[in-house]
This record gives sequence, structure tokens and C-alpha cells, in this order.
Amino acid sequence: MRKSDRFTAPRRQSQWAIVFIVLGFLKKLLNQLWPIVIALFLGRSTGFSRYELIFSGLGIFGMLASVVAYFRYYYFVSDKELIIRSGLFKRVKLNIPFERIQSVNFKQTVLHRIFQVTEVEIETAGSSKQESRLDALSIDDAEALRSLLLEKRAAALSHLYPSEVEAEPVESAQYTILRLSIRQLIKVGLTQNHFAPIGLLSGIVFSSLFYAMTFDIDVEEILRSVWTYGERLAVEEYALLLLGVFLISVLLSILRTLLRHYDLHFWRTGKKFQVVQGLFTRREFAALDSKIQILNWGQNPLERWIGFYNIMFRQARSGSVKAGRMMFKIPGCNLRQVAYVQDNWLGAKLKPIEKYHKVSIHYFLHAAIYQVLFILLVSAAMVYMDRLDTVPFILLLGVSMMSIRWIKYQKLKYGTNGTELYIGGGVIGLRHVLLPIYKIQNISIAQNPYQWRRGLGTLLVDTAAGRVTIPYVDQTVLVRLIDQLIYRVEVSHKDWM
Amino acid sequence: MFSNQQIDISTLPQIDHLQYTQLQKEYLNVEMIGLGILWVIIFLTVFGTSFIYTDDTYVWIRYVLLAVVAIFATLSMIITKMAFKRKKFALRERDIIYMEGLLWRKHTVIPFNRIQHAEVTQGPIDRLFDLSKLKVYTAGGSSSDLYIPGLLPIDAERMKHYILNRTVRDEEE
Repeated sequence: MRKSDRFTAPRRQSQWAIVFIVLGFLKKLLNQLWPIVIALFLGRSTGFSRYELIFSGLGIFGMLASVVAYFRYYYFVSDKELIIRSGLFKRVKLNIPFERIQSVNFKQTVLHRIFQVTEVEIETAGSSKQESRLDALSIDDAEALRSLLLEKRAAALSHLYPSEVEAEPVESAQYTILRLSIRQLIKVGLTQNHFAPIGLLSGIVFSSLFYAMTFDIDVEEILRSVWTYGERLAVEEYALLLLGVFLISVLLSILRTLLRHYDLHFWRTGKKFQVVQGLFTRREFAALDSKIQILNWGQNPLERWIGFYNIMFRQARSGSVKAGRMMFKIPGCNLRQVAYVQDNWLGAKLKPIEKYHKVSIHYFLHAAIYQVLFILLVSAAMVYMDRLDTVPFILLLGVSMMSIRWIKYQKLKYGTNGTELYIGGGVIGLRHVLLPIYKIQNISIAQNPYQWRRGLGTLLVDTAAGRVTIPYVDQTVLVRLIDQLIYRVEVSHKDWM
Repeated sequence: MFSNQQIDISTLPQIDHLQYTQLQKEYLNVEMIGLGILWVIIFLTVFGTSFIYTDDTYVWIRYVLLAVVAIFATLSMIITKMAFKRKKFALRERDIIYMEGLLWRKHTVIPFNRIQHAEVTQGPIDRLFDLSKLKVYTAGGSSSDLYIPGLLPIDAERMKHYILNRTVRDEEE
């Protein structure tokens, strides 16, 4: 049977899709009703109450409905488009013309891998309100469907834009940019931000305490016992405790890195970057050059020590797609790989930035005024309340806030090479932002009273992937910069997406 | 023919040397009525809640609250009046520029070849004074969309057509 024939008649997904549809339904149900479910569990008496019966009835009905939904779910490929038909009572038909398909990505959770199936996500251009996703296809079907769709897409595009055919070969050669070995992966894990898990842990502790309160558990009693336990500890024991927490945190971030980035493979094919990664859930991401609006790269101090860079793609947002899904981050790159990504994305070697400019010292001073005022107010309040012992800590807080702003001021710089706008900055690390000028949507200068009295302003540059800003720059410099940027946008004939 | 001439930045068109057009004077009335309605609502809420939380022995608190509201209302009206003159726009061959703000100022440029959609709308108070609003949307997100209020309906329509024509022409070039 030829590959293209396989999908001409309406087809159902793999039968395992039932499992995923039912699970998806249960997940949605739990998301909505979990407080009720917990309340039922905790306040359970003997026998079934009326509510329990109603809820389980609803649940069973929903599950049956999802099974029926599987049998009413068809997909097939016509001569112009991919068609997905679904719907229990109301028929829903989703048509995806080949030329609008941007990439076809697979996602496999552990369950998918047990059943040897994969979720197929079809990314389209423009703002489609509906999600185009198949819950579970057999690997064989998925691969065949993907290659068929990409073939049809190339044919449709060559028909629409004959001049661009050679620019987009069907199955172009893959160039592997990065493949993380286990050793590199552990190194990546070690260079992550180890304070993030601590924050997450304390968040979980606080929220569970909060929920405990709603179930008549004596939270005060728990806190009091923790407090008396803490009071009995010696300094060394405290140090040990802190060390323990930190070690757990490091372990957690290594674990998280393993889960998320295991066997990371980052490559370039045709006019897009692709990555597949993950231990239990393996997920593919793809970013078309045209869809990427902003490129970020940078390193935190630990990464700097090892020589790692992370790269982040910021893609144009469309319609209802969540912002988080349009960004993805590749850790563990070196400088050569960063340069490869830059040059290939831009389609030409990145020209050096002509001159880096610093922002005005008022970027620091304006914040410092507020910080000093804040510290003075809080200290005065503390003195008034006879808590002189807290004043040194407040002063320390003030000094650290001001130092952070000072470091930010020192690191912030911007510049342009005629075709790209560059902004660099950071507090403990360094982050770089690169944005082709023709992808700019609009530009503003915003001025607060402090700024305009001193002839300063903040530049706001909006793109389809969000805003970048350059704060506290001389107003006349800004106006000339805008003239230049706007000129570049207006003479450009390139499509920003 | 491919060409890539070097640009002398000092010869580029400059956005600070333009003839900006102010909004229609009647639009100040629209702003004032809008503000008036807002402050009446605030006034009523503050006055109402002050009855719940204070008894008759502290009547003066109510008067102080009302005085504070009145002062803020007057201030906001004065600032709105002063800010009105600073709201102005300019159309160029390839972009639209809008300035506004007295204390917090903003100066925005939107190139026509990035505009996705333009429309003319009219609110209920606008209708009393026969004024329209021009709205310009780009793909830069809702925080970056541009609203130019206080236009004569015929001007707003003309501007919209001009912009949309230029958008199409830019795409054909």
C-alpha cells in the first residue's frame, strides 16, 4: 500500500487512544472538582451519600462519553488538507490546509511508550483557535503521516510560491547541533539555579499548611512544635540543617534536569530548529526561523564557570496558544553552537555590533532614591516600635537592594549593527537579547516625571513575541535611534513571520 | 537589481520635527464627563461605606473623606485638562505617530507595514459630541495597540482608509 493511500479514507486513532481520552477527561474533571473530591474523602462516613452517587454517576457517564468520543474521532488526508472529525453530539470538523502546517511534533509520555504510540501535535501558522492534536497514533502511522504531511506541505508551497521551492527541500539533511551525554547532562544539572527547588518546596509546605487549616487540623500546634524544636538547636545544627536543605535542593535540580533534558538532541533541518528531550515524557519542539522573533542566550555564574550557555527561542504568539509553549530553552551549549544558531537563524553571519552604549546613571539613582526612602521609613517605624535590633538587618537589606541595582546598571548595554538590535544585561549572570529590526511591530518612548525632567526616556520595542525595553536613555539619542529603527522596518520587504 | 546603499543616519526623517495635529476640542468634554461619572461612583461608594463603618459621634470623618475625594476629583480634572493639549498625532507616508501624557508621557510609532487591522469606533459619550476613535492593531500584543480618540468621524474614516490602503500597497510592493 502506498503511503499516501493509507490516509485517504477516514481513519481512527490507535485503539490505545481510548486510554488517553479517558485519562484526559479524568484529568480535566479532577482539575475542576478536586476540592470536592478531597472533602468527600476526608468527611467520609459509612455507605454512599447522595453526593457521592451523583459524582460517580457523572464520572461514569463522562468515561462512557469519552469511549464513544474515540469511535467518533476520525482523521484523514484529502488532496488539499488534513481533516480531523470529532464530536459526540455536535460534529466538529477541523481542516488544516497543507501550506499552513509549520511542523508536526511527537510527544510521548511513559504510557505512550508502553503502548508504543505517540501523541501528534500539528503546529500551524496564524491564529487557529483550535488545538490540532491526535491523542495516540501507532509509531508507524505517526511517522508515515508526518512524512506525508511534510511532503504535501512542500508541494503546496511550491505551487503557491514557485520561486521559493529550492529554499525549502522536503526532507533536508539534519545537522546535529547538540546531543547531551549523561556526563554533560549531570553537569547541566549542577549548573541550574539551585534556589528554585527551595522556593518550590517552601511553596508546597505553605500551601499544604493552608489547606490543612481548612480541614480543622491544628496548624498552630504544628508550627509551635516546629518552633520549640528550632529553639533547642545549636548553631552547628542549624548549619547542618541548612546544608541538608541545600543538598536536597541540588539533588532535586539534577533530578529535574534528568527528567526534562535526558538524551537531549538539538538539530537543524531545513529552515527550522528542532529538539527532542525527556526521560519519561519525550517531547519534540520545533521553531521555524520565521516564527522566532527574539533570540536569548546567556549564562548564570555556575554555567560561566563550566563554560555552558543556554539558548532560548522566543516565537511569535498566536491566538489562544499559551505563551510558555512558544518558548523553549536549550541548556549546555558552547559558544560555537550559540554562534551557529545565530548565523543560521539570521540567514547570514551575525555582523558585529558597531558600538555598545550604556544607559544613564539615573537608572541607578532613581531606584536608589526610592530604596533609601523605603529603608528610612521602615527603620523609623522600627525605632518607633522600640525594635532597634532589627535596624542593622533593614540597612543590610537596603544596601543589597542598591547593590543589585548598581550591578544591573553596570551590566546593561545596548547597540545595533544596522540590521539587528542587541541588549545585554543581568544581575548575577549575563543575558543577551538579539532581535532583527524588521521583526519589530512598533516602538514607543515612555517617560515618567523623573525621566522627562532630566531629558531621559525608556525605549519600548514590541514584537510578536513580547516586549524588550532599554531604560533611562538620553531622549535625543532615543529619538534618533527610533528614526533609524523605524526606517529599517519601513524599507524592509521581509515578512516578520 | 540588488542594492544595499549605506545610510547616513542624519538624513533620515525625524519624528521630533513634525507638525502634530491636536484632538478635537470637544473631546475634552467627553473626557470630563467620563471622569465625572467615575468620581460620582467613587463618591457614592465612599459616602455609603462611611455610613456603615462610622456612627454619628464621628460625623467629621465622613466630611474629611468627602473632602479628600473632592480634592482628588478636582486634581484629576485639572491634570486631564492640562494633559489634553499634549495629546496629538501625525500621519506620515509610512507610519502613524501618537503622543500623550502630562506626567507619564508616551510617544508611539507604528509603521503601516506592521498594522494587522484598523477600525473606527464610537462610545456613548463620543456620540453626544459626534466624535470617533481610531484603533490600530499590530501583532505586538494588546498592550501595544494604539487608540487615537477625539477625531471627527469623517477624519477617522479617512485615516482608516489611508492606513489600510498603505498597508495593502506595502504588501504589493
